[in-house]
Amino acid sequence: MSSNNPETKYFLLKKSKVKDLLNTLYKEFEIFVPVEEEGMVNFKRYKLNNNFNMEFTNTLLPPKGLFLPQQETLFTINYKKEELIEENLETSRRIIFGIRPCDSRSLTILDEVFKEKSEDVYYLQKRNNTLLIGLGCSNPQIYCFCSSLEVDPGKDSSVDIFLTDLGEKYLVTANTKEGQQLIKDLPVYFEKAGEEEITRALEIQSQAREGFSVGFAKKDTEIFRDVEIIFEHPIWEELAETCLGCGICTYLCSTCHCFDIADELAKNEGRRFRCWDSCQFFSFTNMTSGHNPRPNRKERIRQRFLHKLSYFVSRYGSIACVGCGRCLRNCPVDIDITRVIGAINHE
Amino acid sequence: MKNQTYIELTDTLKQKINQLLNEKVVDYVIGYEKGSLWFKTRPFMIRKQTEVEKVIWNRFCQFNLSTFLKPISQRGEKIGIVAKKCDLKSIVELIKNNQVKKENLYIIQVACDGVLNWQKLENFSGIPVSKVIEIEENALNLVIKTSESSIEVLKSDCLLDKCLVCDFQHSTYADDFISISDENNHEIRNQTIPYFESLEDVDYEGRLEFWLKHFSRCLRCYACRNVCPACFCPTCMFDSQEGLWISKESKTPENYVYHLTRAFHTATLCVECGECERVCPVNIPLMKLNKKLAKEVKDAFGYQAGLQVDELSPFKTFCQEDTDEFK
Ligand code: SF4
Ligand code: SF4
Ligand code: SF4
Ligand code: SF4
Ligand code: SF4
Repeated sequence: MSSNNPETKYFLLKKSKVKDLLNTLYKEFEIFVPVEEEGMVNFKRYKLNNNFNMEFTNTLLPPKGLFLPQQETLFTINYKKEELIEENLETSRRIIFGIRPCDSRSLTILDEVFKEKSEDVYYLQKRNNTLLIGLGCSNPQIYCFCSSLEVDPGKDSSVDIFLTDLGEKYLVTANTKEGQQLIKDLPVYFEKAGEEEITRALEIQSQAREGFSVGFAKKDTEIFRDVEIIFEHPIWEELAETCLGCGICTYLCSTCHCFDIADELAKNEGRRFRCWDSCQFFSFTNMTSGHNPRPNRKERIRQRFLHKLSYFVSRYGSIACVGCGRCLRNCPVDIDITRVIGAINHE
Repeated sequence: MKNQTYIELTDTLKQKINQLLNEKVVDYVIGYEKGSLWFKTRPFMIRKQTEVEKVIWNRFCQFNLSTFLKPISQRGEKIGIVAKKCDLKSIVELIKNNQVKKENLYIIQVACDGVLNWQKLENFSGIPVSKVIEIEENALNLVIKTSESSIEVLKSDCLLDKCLVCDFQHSTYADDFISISDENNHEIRNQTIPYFESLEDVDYEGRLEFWLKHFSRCLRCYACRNVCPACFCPTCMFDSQEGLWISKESKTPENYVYHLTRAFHTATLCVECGECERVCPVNIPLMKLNKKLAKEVKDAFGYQAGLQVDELSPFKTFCQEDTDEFK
């Protein structure tokens, strides 16, 4: 998370030099790069000379886990002495290399949640320590629909440094002071871009908006502002018939952020941790009294859609979906948010 | 994707469903409809005759619909269900284990010539599904066409693993069998595919390392359990509200406990339908575990899940002649 600087500058970075660049940055930063393993690409911690894969479409797991890990110890205490042993705050400086525009947008959405009222230091500390180097998309996947959510797949000004793929090299745009500084400090890797390359990159950036297979019209999301109407819509019953109530769509979602907090005791040491939780699980809303306000799949699947399309909008002003398509790609029963939005409006 | 056989099968299937609803033989039918992308299909509960038009049958009907017969998801109505040959096995297990009554079911078996796996399609053709315009089929190959080129791949390379060893000859259990020719094309099948065999020669440490590596990335999204027709407990021990058996954190020891427990709980019930492995978002090779347990059960008791409705599971019988090898 960095301060914006209106002055942007264009550079070139040769693909053949990326590894050297990472090896240099490695001395100062903890770097996360897309790595292919077991048939999936995910952000993994870079180790010297590691292989990575920049030709990926998107990572299977969203990068939210680098800020809100699936499980995280918040602090440990000596419970006999009533003393804090350690608070688990991230201090290292980090870089995410190759984050896609939808996913960087998801971080600005998550910021709203973790900044509201009381600041969530565990999340924000990681955000503040992390530089984002974004990568534009020129080949949207068949399940991507970021353009329906006002994310520009070709151009991302929210990241510190943005890369546009020109084949042999990247056009590098520095969006923030921190991004500019990084480029300035490492002149051997970045040459000044010429007019021709800039023009070509702009072309590639604008073409990225074409070629989407799924999506919806913005006005179709307006219906969700009227919770009264939408709450009792028959579609929830219909979806509940096949939804398995698993955690895939929420765990793999870039913007889903619900977690559980628990304490664990071992000898004299107490540990507080948090871990992802999902509104699709029965236990999520089950109370100690035994009452569960969302007892069935119908209420739970409705919660997922209405949180994203209705409640989040009235609270923070934007839809809590960036169109990364992960839910659509991975849902075992093909429950598809774009179809749901379309069906509510047009069926 | 054009395939005359499947088009004809779909027509007959629609007529059948229409008739069942019309004559009120069933309250609803569980079948498939078109998914949001060309290579996807979606489970579909057909209640009205006007919905029958949407029914499909094609090479992407991978979902084992019998999981919707689990008591947690049904309401005591009379159900029609569209089933592939392999799906019959899990229906048999559900009946055997008193999860659904045969008299409440109407099973429509549809001839299956193997289900395609879209990830394999991408891997073997090198063409992302987003670029595919059309797929044609000949005897052994798929012809995958894009706007620029066309590539042939072996059908057997792109089928679900289970289809390669599909040998289950058991259509007598269905109420109806919708087919065109009597026999499906079996040339492409009966290949041996490396499931757990590759682990049989691995020593204990190696196997432990293998599984720890895979389980460490499990998200505990529970999709493998929820999709599984053999996981029919009303409350799974991992959802127990009385007390947590394992921490909610997805850490290696917890994940290990989850998977080993599930494997043991489904042993003798698992029909190797492969759904758990297919839905796993992080590619954990769960079938290696299931196949291993099925093999142990077969070696020890000569028993195979899903074959005979009147054959009791070894865990539910006591046999005087048992050699009793418990040590
Ligand atoms: S919508 Fe799909 S991914 Fe989400 S809980 Fe239901 S079955 Fe699982
Ligand atoms: S709802 Fe689906 S498409 Fe939207 S951000 Fe979440 S995973 Fe991505
Ligand atoms: S194993 Fe494959 S080929 Fe055999 S019936 Fe099942 S889906 Fe069809
Ligand atoms: S589906 Fe995969 S990730 Fe989810 S609980 Fe099962 S093994 Fe773990
Ligand atoms: S354990 Fe997996 S293969 Fe076995 S019945 Fe369940 S879903 Fe099918």
